[in-house]
Amino acid sequence: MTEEKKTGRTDRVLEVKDLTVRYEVDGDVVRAVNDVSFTLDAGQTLGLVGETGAGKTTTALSILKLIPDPPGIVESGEITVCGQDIMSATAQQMQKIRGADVSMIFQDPMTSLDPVFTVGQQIAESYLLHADVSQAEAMEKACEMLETVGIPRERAKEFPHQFSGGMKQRVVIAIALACNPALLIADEPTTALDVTIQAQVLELMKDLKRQYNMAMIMITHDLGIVADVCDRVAVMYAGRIVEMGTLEDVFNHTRHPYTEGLFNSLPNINARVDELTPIPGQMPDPTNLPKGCAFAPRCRYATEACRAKLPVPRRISPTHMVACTAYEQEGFHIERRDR
Amino acid sequence: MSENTAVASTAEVSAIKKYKKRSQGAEIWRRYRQNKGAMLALFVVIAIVLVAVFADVILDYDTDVIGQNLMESRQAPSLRHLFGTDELGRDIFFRVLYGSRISLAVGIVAVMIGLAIGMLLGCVAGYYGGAVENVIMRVVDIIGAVPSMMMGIAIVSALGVGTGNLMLAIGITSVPQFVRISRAAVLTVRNQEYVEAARAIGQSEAKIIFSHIVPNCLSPIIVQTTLRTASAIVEASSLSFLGLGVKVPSPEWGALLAAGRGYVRTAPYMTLYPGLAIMVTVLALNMVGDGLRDALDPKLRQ
Amino acid sequence: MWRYVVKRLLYLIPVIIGISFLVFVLMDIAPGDIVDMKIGEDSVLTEEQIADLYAQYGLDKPLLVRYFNYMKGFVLHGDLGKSYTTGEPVMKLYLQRVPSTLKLALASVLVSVVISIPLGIMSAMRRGSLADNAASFGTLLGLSIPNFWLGLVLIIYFALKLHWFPTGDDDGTLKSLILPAITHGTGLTASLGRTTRSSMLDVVRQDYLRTVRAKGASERRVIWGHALKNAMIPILTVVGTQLAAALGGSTITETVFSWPGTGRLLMDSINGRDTPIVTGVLILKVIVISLVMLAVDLLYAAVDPRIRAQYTKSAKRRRKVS
Repeated sequence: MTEEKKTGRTDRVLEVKDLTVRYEVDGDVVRAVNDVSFTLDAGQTLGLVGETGAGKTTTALSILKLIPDPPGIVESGEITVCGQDIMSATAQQMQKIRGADVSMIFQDPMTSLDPVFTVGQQIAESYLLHADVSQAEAMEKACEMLETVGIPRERAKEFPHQFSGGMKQRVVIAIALACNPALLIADEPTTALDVTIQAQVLELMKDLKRQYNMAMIMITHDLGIVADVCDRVAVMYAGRIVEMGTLEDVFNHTRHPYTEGLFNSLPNINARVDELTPIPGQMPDPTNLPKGCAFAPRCRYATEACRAKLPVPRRISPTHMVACTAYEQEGFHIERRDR
Repeated sequence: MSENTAVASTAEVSAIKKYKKRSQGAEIWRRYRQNKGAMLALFVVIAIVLVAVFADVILDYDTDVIGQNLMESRQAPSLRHLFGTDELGRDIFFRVLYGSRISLAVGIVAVMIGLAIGMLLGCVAGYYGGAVENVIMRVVDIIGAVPSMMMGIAIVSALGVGTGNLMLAIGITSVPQFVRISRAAVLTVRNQEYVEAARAIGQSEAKIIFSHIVPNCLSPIIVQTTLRTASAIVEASSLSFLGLGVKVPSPEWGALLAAGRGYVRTAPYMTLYPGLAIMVTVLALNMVGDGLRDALDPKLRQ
Repeated sequence: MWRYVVKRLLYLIPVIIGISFLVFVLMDIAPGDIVDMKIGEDSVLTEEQIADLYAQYGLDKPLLVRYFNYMKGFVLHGDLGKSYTTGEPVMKLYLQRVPSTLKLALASVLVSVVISIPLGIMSAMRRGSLADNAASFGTLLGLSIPNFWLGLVLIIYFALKLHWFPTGDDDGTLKSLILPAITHGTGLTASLGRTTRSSMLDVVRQDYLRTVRAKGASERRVIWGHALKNAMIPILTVVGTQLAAALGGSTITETVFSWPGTGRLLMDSINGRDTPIVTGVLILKVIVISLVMLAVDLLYAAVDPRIRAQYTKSAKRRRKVS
């Protein structure tokens, strides 16, 4: 199964076009994701950056069609994974796609594993769901997978509560990678872990990515992780992508005021200051987004035009896009200059 | 069923919703009112309580309730006798109305007994911990392990039939749940840091206990009281049905059913209506209890 | 694991002693005893003759001695005394009634499990829907209907009016079992249905189910393979408690349907003031219930590995190397 898939795989692993998702909760409408578009090719790693509530997780869940149906509604958009259309896929088709073509790992390893099954069984389940193998074969592959993520295979018959957080996350990775998916979506996989463990898990992910030639979406709010792991970056704010480009583009040729604010708020060991500079204000209420650019209320470059209409994405270079109305003025540039 | 019955996790949803601020009491009442079933049930309960309270005034005990009139015995329900008459010619409707006094009284008093003893034991167990807690909880576990009917049967057959013993028996079986709730409340509060902080600034233990523990266990206690009253009424009538409850000729509902049992072929209404009364009362109380539980629950459950 | 079982069994002993002593004392306090009955109202006996009677029934010895002898007889010979009215051994009378009680208990619990678990799962999955609300109301109704009333109503309609079923008594046929099983099973179904629903609701919002879905599992597998297994603990508790109580003898149902089980034996002997039977049956009831609950506890270990770990306490395998 997986071997045939690999050769028949397109280079364009993921295509998301004009995705819009809303939640309806208690009469309020939360505009979680608005007109999000991006693509991903084999072997690339895209960092999806933004604060909590920016719509990163919702975007990811949409790709796997795991948005909880009440209260979530996918309003519009197209998603294509390995050439397969997600929007019109049936439940059966989605079940084949999930785990085999695209896998996802989630934030909190402590609650991601079923407490009443052994870790071996949980990894083996991935195989059994997608390949025509016997229980014994699946278990054998599960043990191999455990070793790949750095856990001794004897521990396959142990239960999740017998593992630490970092090891649990490795198991989660093993489950996700068991069937060699073309795309791995990692939703803040190291946020809940200690810094030292974080480094180990990230290293593991980078190795595996290379080994399997996987595309990856790394959702995080930590720019350091982005710099370490990703080769492309998309910055999200209030459900929209405000800036997207290669690592070089976004880090060294930053264009969007919000991205600038993110970089400015990082403590810099070489330039110690008395006070850090956070971005003033808060993300807008997703049930009540402003008419124009959602960042305008907090943006020091905001003009009337910014507040009046939604920013239109514009290309700065073949790889770099920014959605900021201020750039419609000739010669406008944010303070953060090219490095 | 939609393709994705994946349920939103609590974290996802709480990030979405914002609260409008109101006083807690008003907020709870507002939530309760939204539940139409619970509101209806509340009216029914109030109506029954009113009947029970004023039954003495409306009816004359000697003539209406226990007055025999063999000429009229075993009449089917009619306009004169809404629920018919029993084998001694007594109007069943009146007896059921009056019986509400007894059934309700037994239920409420029994639960109050359980509540008082239970809260005392629970607070002591939770507060002092150690051997005291162990002993109390073991005893409570043993009492709780015995099915309440059995406990009731044992106590009443030992102490004798009568309303008082009935209340005591059911009261004792109510104790374990109240002990558990109060002890849990004490334990959660005891371990909170704000208790240490309060102690550090010199607040007295008693004040700490009252101002923190009581609000903590208030909601589950209220819910449990309501629900337990419902089951107490069922147990009381069950015991009376078995002849182990109230003394004859008390028109307690269970006793009425026991009397009617012999006439099931000829006068089924003797058993139908008293039982219906029990069911309606208990159902209403259960719905109120459920409604309270939903209204008092921090409404993060989407 | 076995250490845990033995520990629990040993723990059972003080409980049984405690309760049997309590029962013994309670029955002792009860007004009226065998001697009073034998004497009757109008016979006139001398003090000596009365004392002889007491000695004859062994009632002249102090409480503790009587209790001790009683328990000795029970543990060593299975002897729980003899009926005051018929003179038959209590144990024999009890064992005669056991098959009927067993039938009723198993039938009722079976009805309950078969209906309420799927019902509870459906309710949890379609929370807030019309089906869920209807089911919730139904279970509430089931909890509110007094057992004895339901039994009588069923008898009135289905036995007396329609003649579909007999009005009671276990004659060995399935027909005679149906009405009593429904009567007793209704309350059980309602209670188990609610527990299943709330347990499933708790489990269904757990993060690990999301992981299972992301693997590509079908919704059916997610619910029946993973969610249900995790929701089992509270469900098992309730089923076990219900089974335990029913095996102890469902007094009310047996009384209403004149069912020859241990519950009715108890009621008859209470009404007949036959203290040895009452004492014996109550004590046996407690023992049966305690043993079933112990079995349920052990069943937890089979379902939830975290509990199994607690029971076995193999601290050696706690390697938490990152």
